[in-house]
Amino acid sequence: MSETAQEARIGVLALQGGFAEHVAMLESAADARKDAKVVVEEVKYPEQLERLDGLVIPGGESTTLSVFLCQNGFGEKLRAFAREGERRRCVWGTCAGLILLSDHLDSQKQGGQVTLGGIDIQVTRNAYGKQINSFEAPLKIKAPALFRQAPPPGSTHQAHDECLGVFIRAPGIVRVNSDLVQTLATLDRGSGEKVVGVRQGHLMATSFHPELTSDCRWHSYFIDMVVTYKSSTSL
Amino acid sequence: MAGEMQDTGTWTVKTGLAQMLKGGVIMDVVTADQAKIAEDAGAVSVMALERVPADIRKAGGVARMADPTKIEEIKRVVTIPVMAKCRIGHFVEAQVLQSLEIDYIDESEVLTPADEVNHVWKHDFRVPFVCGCRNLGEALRRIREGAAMIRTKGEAGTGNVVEAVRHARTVLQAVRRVQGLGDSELSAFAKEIQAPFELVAQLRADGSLPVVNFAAGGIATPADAALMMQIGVDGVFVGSGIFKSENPQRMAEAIVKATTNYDDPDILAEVSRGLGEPMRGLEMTAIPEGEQLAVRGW
Repeated sequence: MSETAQEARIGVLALQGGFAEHVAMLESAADARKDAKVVVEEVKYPEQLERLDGLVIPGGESTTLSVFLCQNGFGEKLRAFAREGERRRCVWGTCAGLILLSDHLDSQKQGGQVTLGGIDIQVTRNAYGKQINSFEAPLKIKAPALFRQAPPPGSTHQAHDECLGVFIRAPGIVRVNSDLVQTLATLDRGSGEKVVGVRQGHLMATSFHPELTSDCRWHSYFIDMVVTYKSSTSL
Repeated sequence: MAGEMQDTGTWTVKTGLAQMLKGGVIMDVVTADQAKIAEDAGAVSVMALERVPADIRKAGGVARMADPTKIEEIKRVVTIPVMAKCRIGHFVEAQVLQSLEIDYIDESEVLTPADEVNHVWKHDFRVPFVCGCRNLGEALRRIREGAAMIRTKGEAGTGNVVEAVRHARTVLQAVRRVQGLGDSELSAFAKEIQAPFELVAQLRADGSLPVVNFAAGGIATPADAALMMQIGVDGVFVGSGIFKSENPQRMAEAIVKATTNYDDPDILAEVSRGLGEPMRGLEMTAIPEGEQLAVRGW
């Protein structure tokens, strides 16, 4: 069993948005490790979900993603995929992906939009304002597993427990509703610490974009999550 | 203090928004109703305008930035990013658009140029810019001035994709050509295309443009959009093509689907069915000398 447990197939939802960046980061994170064989693929069709162990939902326009998830039962299949079940699979949502994975959504567009849910947090779209307010700032990493590696050389944030957070018209986590939700990263812009990265079991969400930096620790962490979670089934 | 280290308007957040728009359709709209239709159809962004290019072409005269009231009306009804156009070189129109907190400024040849020598120095702004180009040299000059996104110009308001194809092919062929150049050839090539040497060198190292590149100007059907995607652009702008067609809502939905599934002819066939009349197109030879928009900008 151990051999299959070390293989993981991770998809990146490729309907619209920054999916190529995630594919590149996952591939370089996978190359850097010898303990698991990771295959990365772009996902455009619901049928592809069946063979995956993990899925990344990238940043993009969440209303656009909704249009595609409303057809061909894509949304339903994705919801089933994200639900904890016999096949133990992980999902990571960045930015628009965070919106999809949250249980509660404020400032919804009129007519609503598709959500998958699964992480017990309350999220507001465009919480930091328009593009003119988009920003980058150092984040504190709260997940011990992310500490294991040093930041990439040349990075402005040299502490192990820091990384660069790139926020683009980003959604904000306004409330964490459950103890099951683990904080992975926080942002302090001078008005207190805000939660910007979370995990609840097999689901992870970040309101920032690690795929727009040269730091692939988040992608490495997700690969760990997928591999560990998958092997826990085979026991 | 951590709070002081955060920074807005950086190159990463400017180019990053364009990266999040990839694989998407940016639609020209002139009313709040049209903006809603565009958003519901799955547009990743709307371009708020006084007139679509086909009507600018018809109206003649000087085309300027849209009325702020119009732009705000459109901003109010959608949650997707809103773009607006300023005239080439008109940095005050750009300042006004920044003050309106528009998400992206298009320094556009569709409007009448305000300066026949200089483009806006876009690094001065916190709001990112997209600019048109017909070839690699023009693209890299705009990027040097601070454009965080590029679109090939095509010929706006014609519903004829031929110029969009020409410009996208010209840019992408040159990108490929740079990959094959030796160290000793880079400088002469940069000079030939009148582009900054450092950007040409960076392009050779990266193998791709440093910013996202969309196609624009003449895209009128789902197949047109898919054609541009297969040629290798990152997404499309559709101007007159949607709201000058017989059934804008269906056309908008179909072009969105075609842009995502650009390499799947079965889906393209499905979405192309029964859309009604696309906008009426224009032959390039029917455009009088001096009325071509693409030649504006340098």
